[in-house]
Amino acid sequence: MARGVRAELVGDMSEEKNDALVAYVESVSELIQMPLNDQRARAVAAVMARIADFAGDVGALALADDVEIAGIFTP
Amino acid sequence: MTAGEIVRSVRAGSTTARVVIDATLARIAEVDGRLLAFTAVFAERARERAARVDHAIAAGRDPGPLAGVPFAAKNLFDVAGVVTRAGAKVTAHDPPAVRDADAVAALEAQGAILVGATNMDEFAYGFVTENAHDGTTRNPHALDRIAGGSSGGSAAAVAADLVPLALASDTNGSIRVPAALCGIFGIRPTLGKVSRRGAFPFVHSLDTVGPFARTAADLTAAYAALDAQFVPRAAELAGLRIARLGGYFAGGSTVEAQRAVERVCAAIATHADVVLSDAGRAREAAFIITAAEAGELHAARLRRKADDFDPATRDRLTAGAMLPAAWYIRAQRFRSWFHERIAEMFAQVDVLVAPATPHPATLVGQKTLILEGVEIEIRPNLGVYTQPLTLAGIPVVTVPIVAPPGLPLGVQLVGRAGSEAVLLALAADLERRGVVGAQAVPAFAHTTK
Repeated sequence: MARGVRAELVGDMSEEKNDALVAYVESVSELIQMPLNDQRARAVAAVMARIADFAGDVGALALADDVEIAGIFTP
Repeated sequence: MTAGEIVRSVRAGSTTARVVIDATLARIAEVDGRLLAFTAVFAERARERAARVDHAIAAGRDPGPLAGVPFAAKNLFDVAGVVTRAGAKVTAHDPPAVRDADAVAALEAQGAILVGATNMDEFAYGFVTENAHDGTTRNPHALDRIAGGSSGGSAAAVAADLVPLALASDTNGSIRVPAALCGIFGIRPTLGKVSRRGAFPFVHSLDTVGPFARTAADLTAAYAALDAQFVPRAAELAGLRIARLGGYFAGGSTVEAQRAVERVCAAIATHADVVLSDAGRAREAAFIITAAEAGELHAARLRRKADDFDPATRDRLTAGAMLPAAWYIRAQRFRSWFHERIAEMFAQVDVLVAPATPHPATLVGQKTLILEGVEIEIRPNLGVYTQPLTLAGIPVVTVPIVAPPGLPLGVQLVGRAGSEAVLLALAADLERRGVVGAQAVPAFAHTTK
């Protein structure tokens, strides 16, 4: 994937965060040997951006309450 | 015909399983070109199974409580000798399954007969059944509209009366959404209640398997076959504490969707509205867990054959394979917290009532919709009311309501873990009183030749 590809801005994400996300996708795709062309990199980064928003929201509560993971894989 | 009617006719000798199966196969051949519900038909296998049922009856043996009932299975269930595609092209050259999935075997052990495999979103990652490889399954109530997904083929086949029962899977709403949009009954069981062995996985920690039917009685009969510990409950519902889910579940939908909930609540005298803490966050956590587990599952295939994936799923799976572990862990920690909130809620009530989808079936290919003045994306938003409950692992029965101008809607009846019998009895009671029920589809009415 070409360096510097811009993902479409999602939600209220800043350009700074957006660029960081694209850089993350670029480096991880190389690390896990899942090469992406520019078009797919944009699409993947856009999905990542949405999930990043979710992770921030969920993480804020989960971390504040110091919740342990228990009993969810073996119903 | 319903499954119950078929069983009574076959057991009484007024028809045979072979006659039922031949008629079913002929009807699928006649009308499925308009629906695209089926991706494969197992005519030879079905006729062989029908012969077994008929021989059992002729020999005076009990043919089982589902004797001669044709059923379909979403094409992620293993069928011996057949490649399990799970709606994908990239799986097309996998080795054939060596045995039937447990759910298929459980229904056939009761005398039911598998007639075919049904269309779905690729790898069950979607709510629309617009499949790039197998086509778009159409809603029997309006052929220019979606059937919902990811189990859209199974739902459409039941709604159009091609089969009385069908097997499906529900991770984030893939039984509840198409049940609602196609106007039929469906059950997502308690996580872990029904064997998933031989069902192609999507999200290991969220996947469930369950049936569709056009009547509550048929749904109960099918569920009883799948859950060996199930004990049906008499329709004695007095004393049940039933509440409507408010807050998150009371907004973001059409007036018709909320009226459907009001109709059910009015019939069962709900005690009050209750608010489920952080339901929106629960949906977000379900998104993260889904992306991460599904991405990990398909990472090897994505490396080798990314171009063979449906574009609608490929980029989401790729993103999932790249998620930081911390995000996934936080989502699972939230899930533990959320379980505690659910347990607190079910200390106060026995059943919760909520909409199944925010709106009826949309047009095939339609991307967005205006709701409460806001333009929303249809694909992800169809699961807005099902995904938070997914995270809790609790059982949900979707019951069908017909709302003006004629497109079906569904309502979720939600119970504590292990309360399937209560929910099914409540669904049957509502159906008996005419509050809910599957409507016949004139365009797919049986014709006499």
